[in-house]
Amino acid sequence: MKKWVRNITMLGMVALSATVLAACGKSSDSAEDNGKTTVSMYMPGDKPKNYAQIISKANKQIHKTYKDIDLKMNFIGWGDYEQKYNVMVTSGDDYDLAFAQSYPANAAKGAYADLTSLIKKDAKKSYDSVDPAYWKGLKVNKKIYGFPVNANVFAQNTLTFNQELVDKNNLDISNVDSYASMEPALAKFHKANPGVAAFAIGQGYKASPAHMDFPLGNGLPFAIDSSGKDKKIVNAYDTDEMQGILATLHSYYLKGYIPQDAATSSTQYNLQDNTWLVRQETQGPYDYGDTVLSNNAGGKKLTSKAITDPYKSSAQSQVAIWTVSKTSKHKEAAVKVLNLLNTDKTLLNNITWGLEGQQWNFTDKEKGKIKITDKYKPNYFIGAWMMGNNDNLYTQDSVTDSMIQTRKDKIKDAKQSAALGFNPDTTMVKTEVTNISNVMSKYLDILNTGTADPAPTIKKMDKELKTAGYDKVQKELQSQYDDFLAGK
Amino acid sequence: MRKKKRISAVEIRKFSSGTNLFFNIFLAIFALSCILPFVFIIILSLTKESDITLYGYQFWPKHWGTMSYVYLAKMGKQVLTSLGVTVFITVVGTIINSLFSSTYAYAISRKDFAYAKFFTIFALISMLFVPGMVPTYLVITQMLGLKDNIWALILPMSFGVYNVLIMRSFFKTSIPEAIIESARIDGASELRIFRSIVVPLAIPGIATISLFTSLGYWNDWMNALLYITDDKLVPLQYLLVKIQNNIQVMTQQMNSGGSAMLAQNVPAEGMRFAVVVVATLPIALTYPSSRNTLLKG
Amino acid sequence: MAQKATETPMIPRKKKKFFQTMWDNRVFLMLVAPGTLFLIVFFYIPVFANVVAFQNFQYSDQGFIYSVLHSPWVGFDNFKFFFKSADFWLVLRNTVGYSMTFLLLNFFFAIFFGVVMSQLRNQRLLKTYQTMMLFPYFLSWAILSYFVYAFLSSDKGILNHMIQSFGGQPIDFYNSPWVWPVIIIFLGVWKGIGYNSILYFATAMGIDPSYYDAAMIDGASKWQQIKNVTLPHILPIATLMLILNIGGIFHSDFGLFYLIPRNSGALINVTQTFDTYIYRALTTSNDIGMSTAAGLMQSVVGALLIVLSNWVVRRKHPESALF
Repeated sequence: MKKWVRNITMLGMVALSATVLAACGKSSDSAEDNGKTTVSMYMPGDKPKNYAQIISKANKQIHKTYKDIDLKMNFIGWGDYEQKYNVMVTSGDDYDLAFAQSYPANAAKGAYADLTSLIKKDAKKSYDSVDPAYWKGLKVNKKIYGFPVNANVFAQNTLTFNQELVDKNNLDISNVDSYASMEPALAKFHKANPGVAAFAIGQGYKASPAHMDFPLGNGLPFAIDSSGKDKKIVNAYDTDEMQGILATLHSYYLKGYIPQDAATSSTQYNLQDNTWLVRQETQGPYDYGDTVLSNNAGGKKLTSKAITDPYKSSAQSQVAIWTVSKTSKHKEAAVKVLNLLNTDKTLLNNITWGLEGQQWNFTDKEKGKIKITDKYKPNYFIGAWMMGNNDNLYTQDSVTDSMIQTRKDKIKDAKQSAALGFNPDTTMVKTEVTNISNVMSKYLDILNTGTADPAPTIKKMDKELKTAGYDKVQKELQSQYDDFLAGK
Repeated sequence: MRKKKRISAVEIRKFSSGTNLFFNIFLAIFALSCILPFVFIIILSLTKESDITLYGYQFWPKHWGTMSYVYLAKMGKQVLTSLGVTVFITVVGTIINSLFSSTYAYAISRKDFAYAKFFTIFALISMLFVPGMVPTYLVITQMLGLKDNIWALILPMSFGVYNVLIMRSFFKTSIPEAIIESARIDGASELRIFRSIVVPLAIPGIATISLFTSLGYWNDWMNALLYITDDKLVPLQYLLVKIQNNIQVMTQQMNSGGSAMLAQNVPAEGMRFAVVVVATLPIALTYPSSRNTLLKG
Repeated sequence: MAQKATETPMIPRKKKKFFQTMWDNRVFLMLVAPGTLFLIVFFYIPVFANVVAFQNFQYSDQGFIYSVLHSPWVGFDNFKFFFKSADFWLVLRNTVGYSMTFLLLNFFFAIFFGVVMSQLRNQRLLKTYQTMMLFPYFLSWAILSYFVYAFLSSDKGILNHMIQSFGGQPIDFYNSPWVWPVIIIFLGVWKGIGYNSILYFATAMGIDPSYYDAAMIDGASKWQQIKNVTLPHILPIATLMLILNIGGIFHSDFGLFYLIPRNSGALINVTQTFDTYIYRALTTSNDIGMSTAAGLMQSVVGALLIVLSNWVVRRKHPESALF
């Protein structure tokens, strides 16, 4: 017995001293070995299975321009990214590049390095290649704190139909352009297939009015008319349009088109399965109609009908932003990497399509046309929407020249939202915003999924919002918005 | 001979046979209710994927499927690595924690330790306040430099005030001061008293806190979320939580219209149940043996 | 028994030099050293960051510590959101109500099961029961929420199938607040029994059989044995647990209150506790000042309660007191 105890004691002692040694030895992981700077980049997602190859190819490409810069990507699971990111940002971690979350709030609090002059110095060319709407949307206190990924500068919410089920049930969806106008199709489908979700929505779903900006995100009720006709900050749930939509959804819920447990359900309606008839999606010009979505669904045929108007908005400009930590030791190198990601086609496409010769091959190198191989599978590439300028992406043969032209025209034609670049500062009213978001958590799901009868529920919600300080926040936002419009 | 004596000792303190039967039935029913969810999870992990979407979570699925395990087998290497990490941190962590918690508890339980009160309160205060995630993160990543280091999974839980208090109470009640006094009169040093008298007597207590500690280490994933990005150091529970969180966030993303943005497959829903099965069985099945130590002190 | 017989003759304590006392206690100091080091590194250093509860935290390019030192002080502003909330009383009622219920029920059931198991004759069966009873402890609330959902789901749940087959009206459980206090309390207690009873079981098993022998000779019945031998032996550890749990009255098990009701808006009046409130209110803003303030408030209330209950215990039963 004594021997046993002595052994354990020794082990413990050794373990502790080993720890102390390990701790002292590894004082900091500063990455300046052999004169090279390693830029560490944090992003959400799983590590691609071919990461080692992707990164070595990427670094080879980077070295052609910047000999002394290495890139290292760090992946944090989708589900954990936000939490880990928040801790990293709050603790002042010296990451070099990170995929931003709640950008305006963090930028206002000063979490990011000011890139205004660095971008102009080291990334002029990439700066110019990005749609100007992005730079407008990113400005916080008139400064730029991040580099956007030029992609879907506007996006529309669509009702996306499962074409296979549409055909099978002989549904007519040609006239669908709103929630209300899909009723006949839903009714017919539900009668024939009561067990399959007609309108497949679940917890977290948000109904979309045709043109509204939500300056504090769509989890809070504050909304602005994107067209600019109405300059008032309103409660989205008080507008006739929203109430009409919610009434329609509620009737769908009662008729059984929407799953009975929608407000609390996290059921997966996988794109490729036939477990759903209609779903709501978000699509932009770079989705080339339903091409991208169809690809994600393993080639399944889908038909989307837009229900919102195309506006270039702040929210859309902030979909994917790369930021540099204020405490980063390699700010300049980080911006240089961003510059390459947004200008060097070879670098970008060998990340977003996987590797040339493995996941894809050129069919026409001049025009940047490629064909994917059967090795092109999820987890063998990184989503293009979060990496670099989508203008520089190679396209598959299925994307025709005319489709590309349509994309360009559409982007040119899309209007800027009146509230583009309006990133309000809520520090003065954070107590109230906190309480409002708590009130909203009671109502968001039951209203948006149609579970609750909107008229009485909204009345009750508004009363609670009022006690939570809605008016004060509205007033503050309104005065900031007025200033913003005046300064335009 | 010895065995016989033991049995009679057991008999004395036990229920009479009628009461015994009654409580046996009672405990059996309760114990069954406790494994019911686990049985359910095994069934779910064997349910065909689209059945879950169409018919919800069922105790008896219409179609069976082993896809979750096929998928899990593809991750086989990662699962094995993670199991290894979990076992390592559980064993090492439990040893360190039980050892240091016990020594601390013993010292503050002794009346002739001049600073007993100080160190009691010194430890107690840490139960009352929470240091917060961000400053702890800084201590571990910057002060100790343990980012992506297996010690980041062990050290933050390597001492437990809860354990200290349990052990202190244990020492106070089950180790008579008289024994220690007489040992000292015989000329034994404090260290020797601790080693050869106190520790052997305290084995049941140490076993109890070791059990608690090992369960704690086994179930911990928060530290891994914060400090580990290297796949080789990911413990099993974090692997599980990661899959769950991924499913949750990605489903939400799909539900709110962002299907086009996911450049990876949403893990199959049955997958998370398969991982639960793999993550729970080993520790649950080692419990009986650790329990033996608990009793034989 | 209390004779002081040490190697060195005792000089009057007061006059003794500080370092001399240290030296005399060197063995004990050595025994507490590792734990002390741990507490300093993982508690006493980081705990100072709680001051951000009184600040409007601003980032600086010198890192976190610099930021904390240079952020402006705002007094109790960060605490306001909670007191200003219309839900203040509701949250308080729920948190304290549930905590008290759990405190009493967990306490009772853990001791009950611990004692019953220690008296059981069949060792092998007992081992099986205990192993089985520990399973819920390994399943997170997230996983258990699917299990609960399989029972309670409005259209696909087993319970509703049963109700319907007996000709009843199905109940939309996730929209019916009245059933949830029962569900939550039942699940909370059920999940903890296996784990919580270990401590009392181990304590009861550690009792010297001669105590029982003596009681037997006196002709004590089983119940009298339990009352006069087992329970008094469990008392110190039970008191300790009680004091510690009272300090946790402002805390609630987040998963039980958030994941098990599936974050259902309709149930918030009966499921909102301090922890879910903080989570719901602060996820959007991610404000470190406010979240620290919330945690600090829980801690301070807990600390006061512990001191208070310890004071009560010390008057009645000094040996069981914490300090």
